[in-house]
Amino acid sequence: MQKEEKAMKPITLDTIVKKSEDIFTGTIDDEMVAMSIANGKYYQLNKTGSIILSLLENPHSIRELCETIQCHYRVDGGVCREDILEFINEMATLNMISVI
Amino acid sequence: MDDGTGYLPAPAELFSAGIHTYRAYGLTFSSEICFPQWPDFSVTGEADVSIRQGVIFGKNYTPPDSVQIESSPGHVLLRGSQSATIRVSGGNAIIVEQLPGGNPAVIRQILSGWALAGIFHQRGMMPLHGSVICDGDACFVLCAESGIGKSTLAIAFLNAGHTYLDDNVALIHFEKDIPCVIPGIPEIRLWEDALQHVAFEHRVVGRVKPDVNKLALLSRANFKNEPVILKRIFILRRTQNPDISFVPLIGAAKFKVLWEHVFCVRFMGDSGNKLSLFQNLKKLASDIACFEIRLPAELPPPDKLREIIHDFNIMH
Repeated sequence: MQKEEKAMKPITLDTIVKKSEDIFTGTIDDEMVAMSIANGKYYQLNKTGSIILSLLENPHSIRELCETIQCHYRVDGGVCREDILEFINEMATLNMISVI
Repeated sequence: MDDGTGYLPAPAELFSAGIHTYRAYGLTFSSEICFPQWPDFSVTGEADVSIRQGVIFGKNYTPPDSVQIESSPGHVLLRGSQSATIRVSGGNAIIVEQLPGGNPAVIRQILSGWALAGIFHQRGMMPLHGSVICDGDACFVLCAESGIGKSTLAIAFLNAGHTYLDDNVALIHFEKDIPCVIPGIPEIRLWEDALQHVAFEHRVVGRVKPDVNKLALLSRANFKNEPVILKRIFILRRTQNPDISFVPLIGAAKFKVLWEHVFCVRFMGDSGNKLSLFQNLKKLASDIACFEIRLPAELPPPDKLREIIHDFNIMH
């Protein structure tokens, strides 16, 4: 029962997410570094990941993120949604984002 | 006070009568413990940091079998197994409770290293673990993993007439947006068999630990007691490459290396100001050139390596 309460809800296109409070970010030589102050781990993000994490300074739904990314890159809508969902799930696993 | 042996004796007792005052790493200290290596300084008013004897757990306390460190925001507690219990708090207070039989030399070393790291992190300062060597009007930091011979290399620089700001901690501070290193403590630690290579004026303070052949040297003549502009950071790394090469670090890789060389960062837990440290390191990574010096498995003689680094530093 306890496990069920702790389990994360599936992230869908309508899920609203935000960057976790203990994640600090910075750009060095055009590369974004994200660091978890809670566990001292740091992550290097590619350009798309950097845009997404920057957007998540404020709460956004996954659908909104996809729309913004599609404005930056010519990419198939289905592929974009799939890639972003995968990326967001990975960030959620690392506690880099929180679900609102 | 020379005892005739060339050694500079530290008081046998940990706590001595009176208060000793020092200035190092840009901070003033008032201490109930004498540190022969620390730069004396006449402190008027309240010192930035006080080092006092105090009761933390009291008489019925049983120390842990091995060293334990506990941290919470603004506080860090070191529970030594044989030496002392030390609490560092608020970035301005160090309380020391010596355990029965706790060795004063060991406790002084813990205070000069780990406890000062607690103060730095609680104050949001930026200490890197490395030797700081002056070259002309600027300085560079030599960072290295243990066993590469950072201090031996530092000695080669000092033999060649360079001055230094610290052999263990590079306390970096932005002065009007320019990164500078603040002078620390004029102490160099080296293995006893390396003492024969020291050709500059020095005094031996004693062993770092009673059962370790590592000595603490005091060298005030080569010590530069003023902030110096930081030019670059070198990371010494042993590789399987046959030759020495200088590889510039950029972007996230540079940040990663700098973070890994923050002094005692792993032990500070929640005690320090990590946001301030992150922002300072980010700025440092953006402003300062950082090179990895890839060394062959068989290390070159220290003086040869000193020449190579010096030439690179002049030409780039």
